[in-house]
Amino acid sequence: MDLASINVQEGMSEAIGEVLENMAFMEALPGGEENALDPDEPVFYTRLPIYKPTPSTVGLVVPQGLALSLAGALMMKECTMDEDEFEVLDVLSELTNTLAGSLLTHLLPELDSFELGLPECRVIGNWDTKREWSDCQEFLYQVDEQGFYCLWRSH
Amino acid sequence: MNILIADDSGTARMFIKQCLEISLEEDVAFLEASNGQEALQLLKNAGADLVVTDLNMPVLDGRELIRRIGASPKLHGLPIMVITSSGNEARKQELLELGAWVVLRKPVNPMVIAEGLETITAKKGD
Repeated sequence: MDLASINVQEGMSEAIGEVLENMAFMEALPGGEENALDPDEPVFYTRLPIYKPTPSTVGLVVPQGLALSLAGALMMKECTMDEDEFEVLDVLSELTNTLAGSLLTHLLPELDSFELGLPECRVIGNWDTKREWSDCQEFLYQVDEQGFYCLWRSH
Repeated sequence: MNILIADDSGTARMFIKQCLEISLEEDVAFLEASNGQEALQLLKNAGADLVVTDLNMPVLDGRELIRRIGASPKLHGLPIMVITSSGNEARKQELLELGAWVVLRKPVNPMVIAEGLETITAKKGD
């Protein structure tokens, strides 16, 4: 199956819902204008390559405040940038890895195999889609009214 | 009971450890490895009663870890639980043929892990 020809929106919503509910006990809901990211807040930016069945990429853009909340929920402690940045990067990488697997499981027939690469995660000053990924699809979600993006690109 | 968890993500190791602690009623000691090579070294030095491994890991991946456990006279027969984001039906069959005892798809939770442990217990009894 060619992933480039699939509409991933529904699968992405199911996947991000499943991942956050199971791993962080949080509910991801569709986001609106009121959940738009603050351009002045640093974001955690992740991406993970998919090699098969179609070269594609999955990513997340999570504002720092929400990233700390997610990491705190997973690690069951209060996280701060000063003390826990490495752990937050690891949490976001693992969330991306799990999201990618969950998304492909939703998109592909049960017996179709897929191959994922390793995730990468970094903090950037502000999010600019055109600078990072010129041709990706952005899906806006929110957790407790804090917006974040799931990203998708298939070549 | 000694359980070795191999995953390159510290978050995943911690999360799986918490799920196992909830699922198991006995005392458990955990060993942790961030790739298959570290896992093999720990198995040779310390041993374990169960291996829980991811697939996608740098240095030596989960598939190769399963192969090497199966090929080792000392480690052959060791129960292996795979917890992976690539755990669809196609991958599950491939890994079971390779030597995994149970294959679970991320995200897992304590209930799913408990079912996996039951499957391993049942297979041990066969």
